[in-house]
Amino acid sequence: MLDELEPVGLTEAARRIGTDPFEIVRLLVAAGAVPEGPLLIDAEIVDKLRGIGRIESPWWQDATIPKDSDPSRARVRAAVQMLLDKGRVGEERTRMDNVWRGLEEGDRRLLERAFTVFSEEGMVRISPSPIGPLLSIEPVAVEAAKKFAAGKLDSPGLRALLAEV
Amino acid sequence: MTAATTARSVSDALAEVEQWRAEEEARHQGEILDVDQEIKNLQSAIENLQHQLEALDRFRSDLGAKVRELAPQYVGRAYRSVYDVLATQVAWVAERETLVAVAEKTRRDALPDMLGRSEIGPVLEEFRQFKTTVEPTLKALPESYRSVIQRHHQGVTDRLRDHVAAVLTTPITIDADERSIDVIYAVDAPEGEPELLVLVLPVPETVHRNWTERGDGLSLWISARVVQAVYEAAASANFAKAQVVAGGHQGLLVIEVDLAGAGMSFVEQLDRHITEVLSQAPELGGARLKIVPRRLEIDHVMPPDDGTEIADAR
Repeated sequence: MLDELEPVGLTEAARRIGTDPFEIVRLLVAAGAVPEGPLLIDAEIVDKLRGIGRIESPWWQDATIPKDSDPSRARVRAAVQMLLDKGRVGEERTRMDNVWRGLEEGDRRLLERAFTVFSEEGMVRISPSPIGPLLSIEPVAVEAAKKFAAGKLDSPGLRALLAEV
Repeated sequence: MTAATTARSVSDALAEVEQWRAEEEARHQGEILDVDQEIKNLQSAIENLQHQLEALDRFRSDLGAKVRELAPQYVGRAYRSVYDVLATQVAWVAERETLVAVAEKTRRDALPDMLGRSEIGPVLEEFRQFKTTVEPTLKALPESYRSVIQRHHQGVTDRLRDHVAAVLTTPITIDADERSIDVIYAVDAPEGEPELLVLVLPVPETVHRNWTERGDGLSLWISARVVQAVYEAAASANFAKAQVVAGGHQGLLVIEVDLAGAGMSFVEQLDRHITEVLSQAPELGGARLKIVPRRLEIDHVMPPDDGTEIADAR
């Protein structure tokens, strides 16, 4: 009965927010909220960390995956489409790991590597921040992103990446 | 002027000269033979010395090769010895983790009784009654009644939460001798500028990989404090790109940070923050662990890559 009154440990905080314990520590540092005592966090602060960290609920529950001969490419196309649909362009950035939150490890790594490649190609911008890398589509690349998501434009970097996998 | 001769005739004189010549020639030939023998003896001695010289040269080459092999062997032995020590310390941490977990459970189990017997006892009883008797019936009440009761309950909850937090945020202190353990770290800066930070902790790599199953405990707290130090150092050094990446090596938790663009100021800040954080973390002190951060050469932390056989450090 007293469980709901107890401060929250790192793993429970991570579970509630949808990230891992080390990210919780990062957010505590960014928020200037590292406890003075042991690593127990008030439940109210856990909720605030979600906002401070810009951690969103998983995007993929009702996501539409386009038809593609390569399921990995389909996943990446769907992720780019979601960024466009959510208006994550230019200064409207999202926390990078929001893109793969809730997915299995293989898809997480795929998307992380794919967007790193896209940033090298200029389609997306990855901005470092105290809460973690932030992601958005470059304004000049919106049309290219739309074409890519629609399967009408290839990415040489992604092609090379998928060939490795 | 020639020597006077005693010969009575030219023939005798010439015979004397001939004899002199033969005697002289024989004497010189004898000396030549002696000299030849000495030359032979010296040549033989020189040959022997040459053999000795060649043997010494070969021996010197062998010694030189052994000296050159020392460097990679030293690196390999140092690397091995570091990880042997950390493997021992993992076991120490595990032992303390168990003691702390038992003490925590004991305290948590005793919490309701302890609060019940304290000044907050009546508030706890009120909370318990609300949860068991009132809350199930709230929906049946009119909104105006419900909101009053919920507001009051929130006040009760807040008071209780403060007391519960006061108890649970007091660090557990176990009755044990202080143990010193190492957190090692190294900065790879092959061309002078830091490129990679590697930290190796005396905790299992599963602390991060399997965090959902393991839950909170001493190993996670040690790791979390190291991560805290890294991000605090990054903030102090304005290094926004800092990103902790967790992995494993030799079964131990390894934390890496790409330091491209960080500069030495980040490393200096890390030296400061990691010492402060690890020495001031109350839950680590309560576990009677003294955690000492040690900066090593990168070669002593990363595995040798030249195929050198790693000898037992002992």
